[in-house]
Amino acid sequence: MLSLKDKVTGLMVFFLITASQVGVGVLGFQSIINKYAGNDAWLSVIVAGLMVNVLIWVMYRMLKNDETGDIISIHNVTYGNWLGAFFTILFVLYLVLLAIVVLQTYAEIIQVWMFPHLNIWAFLLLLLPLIYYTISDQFRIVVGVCFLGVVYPASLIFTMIFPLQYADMNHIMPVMDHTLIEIVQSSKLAIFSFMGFSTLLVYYPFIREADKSQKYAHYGNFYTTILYVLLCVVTFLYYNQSELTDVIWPTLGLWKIIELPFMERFEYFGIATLFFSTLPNVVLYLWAATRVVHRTFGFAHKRIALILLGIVFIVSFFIEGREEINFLNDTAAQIGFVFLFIYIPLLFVLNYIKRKVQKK
Amino acid sequence: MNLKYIVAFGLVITSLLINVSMPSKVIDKINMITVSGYDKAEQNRIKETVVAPTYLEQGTVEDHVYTTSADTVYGNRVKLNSKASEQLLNGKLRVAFYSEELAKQGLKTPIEFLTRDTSIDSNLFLAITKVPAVELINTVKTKKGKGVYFEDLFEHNIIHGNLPDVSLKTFEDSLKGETSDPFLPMFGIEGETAKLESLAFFKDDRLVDTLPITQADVFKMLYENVGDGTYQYKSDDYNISVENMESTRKITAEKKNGSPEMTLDVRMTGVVREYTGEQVMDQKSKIETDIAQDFTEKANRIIKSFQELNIDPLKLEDFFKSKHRSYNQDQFKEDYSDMTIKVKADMRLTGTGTRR
Repeated sequence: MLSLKDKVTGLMVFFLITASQVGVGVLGFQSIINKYAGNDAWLSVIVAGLMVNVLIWVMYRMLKNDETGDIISIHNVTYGNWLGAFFTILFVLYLVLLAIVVLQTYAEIIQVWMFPHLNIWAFLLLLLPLIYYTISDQFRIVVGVCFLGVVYPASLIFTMIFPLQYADMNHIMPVMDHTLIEIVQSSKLAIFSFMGFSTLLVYYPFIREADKSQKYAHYGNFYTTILYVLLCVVTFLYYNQSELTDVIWPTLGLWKIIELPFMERFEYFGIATLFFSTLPNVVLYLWAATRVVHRTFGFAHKRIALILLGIVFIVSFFIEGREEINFLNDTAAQIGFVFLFIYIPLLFVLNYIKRKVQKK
Repeated sequence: MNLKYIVAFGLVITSLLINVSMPSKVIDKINMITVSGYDKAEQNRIKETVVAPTYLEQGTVEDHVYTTSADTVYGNRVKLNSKASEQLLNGKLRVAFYSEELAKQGLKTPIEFLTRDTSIDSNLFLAITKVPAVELINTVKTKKGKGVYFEDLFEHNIIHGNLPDVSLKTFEDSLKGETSDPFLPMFGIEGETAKLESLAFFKDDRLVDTLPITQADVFKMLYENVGDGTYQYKSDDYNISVENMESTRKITAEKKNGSPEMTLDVRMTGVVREYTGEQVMDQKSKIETDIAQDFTEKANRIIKSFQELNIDPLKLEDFFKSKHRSYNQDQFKEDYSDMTIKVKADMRLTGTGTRR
């Protein structure tokens, strides 16, 4: 059983949720989500944020009613031990995929913007000990990383003032120029930037008075939504839509306009600072994956962590270039969408029925 | 257990060892390009001229100018590097010139690399040259370095002069946007110095028209809110020069009988600096109406020429699109050439200097 010492306070859920959502996605989501809704895509971000709030509510309902309060026990109650374990493994694969996507995307940005000759696998060797250190021991270390991952990069919000000198209201007006369907279609694309909060299904038992922590989860998601909407609006004011479609990392484009007396290029500072935002993503996904495998099969936590890191490392040899990373991102987005919007509600309903039947 | 520390340390060392062979760029071994110029060469090739300064001692700069031609801009870099003693890099590029000939052919391809290269600043200044770019670059003799020289020339003209805000960012924005056409400043040579001669207007990415820089004050006030401008007016009775001009521009777009009607309302204030008539105080309201009328006439002429050429550097379509949900791109483009575009001007003299 988990002792009180292993647990963290409810407030930390705010940081856990935000840190799991905000990551490398902030550099490029604007030019992806405008595919359908164009200049109204910032409304799609709000729609996506609200949908995620509903999902958080759904997850909390499931977790509160469960005895142990994590996805393994929910699966076992709902499907029985064997089928439950099967779905749990799928969930682990999803988490590992997300971790790989995040790491590869960040490595690609470093390669394109900073060091074109960077050896990605060798770069990963530098990170893996750090990740292993964070995930192999207590959950509190992961929470610490998540806390800093929200606090440090928060200062980057102020950099959004600089691009406003080129802001043009005509780029974003008129509001609601697109149909509701187009906005919802775009919000489907925006959901990818909110992914990762499903790790809640794993770390829930690690929260003190967990059933009272729900409001912090919603606050965390609100913070993410506000951050994204702000970034999205500034980007849409700065770029016109036809230009934006060509840009791979609009946020870095915004930073390109910043010139400080002591710093010629702000992007480098931005990319480096965003590492604090990327690390919690990876760490949280891999910790959750490790924890789930540990709970299902009972292998030693540290050993699983090593094996998962080994997988992440080996996969990095097979991924190269923009298209493959794009493909990886799209796949993860598709899987995540199915998982969050089809599987989770389904699980909720099945779990509900099962519990009612068992009670009788 | 010490094993894990050894392993972690081993991994870090391996990583560093493998990435240590990464080509590095040492500040003494590179040469930053500050100005580049592009001309058309034979067989559709591009001739590139770059200026790369070397800093000798305190305050003295020696500019090296290299010229070559190749099929692409970066094809030129290979040849340029074979002439330069250090590797040439783009990180400090401040100004890029394109010859008029090249601009008439279309600028989309020659400026492509500027937005693709991560090391190039979005604040970079772009300009067209009436003479070949190489000639313009070679003409300028300065002690502060050609890069700083041209950058300063742009900057003070944008802040205090007749030049609207032009940079790679704004050019790219108007070029890529389907609802506006870009414009750039055009330089020429007069004697031994470079001279800002006119504004060059583009249709898509091709140069189609120019407007002398002396008349660009009207365009600038139609295009954006001006913080510090000047205005010269000459009539049969008197000449007047107005300084410290501030102007705000307001556009209204209405739909009358199905076709769009735009009104540009420009409100200007300024201070008299030079006046050849008598008693400026008594004549104030007359001068104000004269200037407003003069402004309206000039503005109408400029807008008329835009409509004839079917170009939209004032971004009127952009504005109309943002205000009217019924906006239809084809319809607007069709209507544009004989659309009613009114100019309203209002001039207020807020001071007359130290004399009445």
